[in-house]
Amino acid sequence: MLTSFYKSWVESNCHIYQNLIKNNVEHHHDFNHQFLHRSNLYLFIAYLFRFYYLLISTIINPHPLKLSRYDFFEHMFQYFSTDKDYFFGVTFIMLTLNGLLLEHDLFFHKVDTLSWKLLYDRIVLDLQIYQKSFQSSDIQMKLYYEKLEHFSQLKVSAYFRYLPKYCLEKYIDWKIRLELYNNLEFIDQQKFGQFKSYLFPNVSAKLRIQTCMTVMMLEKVNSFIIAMAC
Amino acid sequence: MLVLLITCTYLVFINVHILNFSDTAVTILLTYFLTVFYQQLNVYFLPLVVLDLLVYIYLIGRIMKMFVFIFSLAIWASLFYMKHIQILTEFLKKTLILAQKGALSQKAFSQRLFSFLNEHTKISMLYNFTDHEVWSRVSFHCMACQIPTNIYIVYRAMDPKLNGSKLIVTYLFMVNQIVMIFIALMFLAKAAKVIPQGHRYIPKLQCFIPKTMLLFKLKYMQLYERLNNKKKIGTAVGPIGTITYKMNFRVCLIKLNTLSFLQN
Repeated sequence: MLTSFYKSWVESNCHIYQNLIKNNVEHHHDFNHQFLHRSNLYLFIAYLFRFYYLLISTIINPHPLKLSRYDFFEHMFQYFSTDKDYFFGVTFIMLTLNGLLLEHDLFFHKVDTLSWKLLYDRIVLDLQIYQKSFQSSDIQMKLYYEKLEHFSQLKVSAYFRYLPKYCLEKYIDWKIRLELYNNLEFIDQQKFGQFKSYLFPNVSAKLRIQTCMTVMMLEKVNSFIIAMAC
Repeated sequence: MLVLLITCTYLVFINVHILNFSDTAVTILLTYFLTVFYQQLNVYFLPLVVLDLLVYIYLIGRIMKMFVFIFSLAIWASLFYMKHIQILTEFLKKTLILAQKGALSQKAFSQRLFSFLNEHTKISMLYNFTDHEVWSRVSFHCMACQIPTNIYIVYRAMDPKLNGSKLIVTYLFMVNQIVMIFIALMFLAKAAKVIPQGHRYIPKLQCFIPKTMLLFKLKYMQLYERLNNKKKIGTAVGPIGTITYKMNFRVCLIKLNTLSFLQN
């Protein structure tokens, strides 16, 4: 159960970028979507008031209500803060306010407008085409060995000649892989080019593939940042 | 600016929640539980505490997710528009060279002129429209929420009672902010710089447009005026203005000035 939960969590975070836009555009008027984001909104508002109270209670000390008995966070805050540390409450308030405004701006905005259509067209649809139009494994292996033969004919530069054999092989392997990615040979460009985008019919397939690659790269970086932060 | 603000908020999040308030996140969590057990001495509150912690972590994760989403969108959009406009300007340059050589027929020349004009106006309009619709508002909110935290950090750095470690962390935060602002703004400033680049070739191109294509002459004149306008095309921060290299320089200068003021 834990592994399945972990897998689903990883999958949801791997395609964070794609999933957010897809859910927001396709399921904007669904009950579940609305309920989730409205509950987030109310949570943000509740925490905003909580942090406001945190500031007020530290300034007016002792506060007549003494809610710090029941609010553990406030209790901890007052217990550890010295001098003017309680002003950190401002940063908490601003973070929650920022979250509230972002939630409202992103998920309660009209989806029929051009900006969301553009995102959906560029990211969700293009990534779906990108994932479908990979070269078959046979062709990829063929291209790899062609490059390897070509590389073996060339002389290895002086810096890498004295490396151990294992490291040299790895270096060559990574260099070939990078070349394949850089020249966009791992993808069938003709197949990709057959599906033209609705908003940008004149954009070249090469640029579209490059943008897809940047999205994939950003997704991986973002998932790493979120995992580290959480 | 969008990217800058998000990175700044991310930095605030890291510095405030993890470094500055207490030593590590683990100590925060430990102290949280310890205060519950040793101060309150009530075990019945424990599920409530766990729930409270989970909600708190969920909300922070939610904010992080949204920041990351906007951050990557800004980078992606600026790169995409920049690259597309670069290709278009290269196309215009090539048409100019071919026209100078006389290698283009009138039909091919008009087709090339039309395709450039159409695509360029479409891209710039889309960029402006989408920016005004969502992203400028979002970036303005981010910036507005950053101002009080920045004020507090300067106020904190001016406090003579601050110990060594706390002072170092506040200065580290400020230097971090300057570096991240500079890096983040560079992407968007570059995009704003690239979009009006085609105007360099338009006056030369006007010479090669024949009298029969008067409409193109007028349209290219309009395009030239639009690109040379004071109001730049690019990502904007609400009503403040578009992000350019000049703005980047000014913002960094203000930040550096605050640092120098604090040292004196």
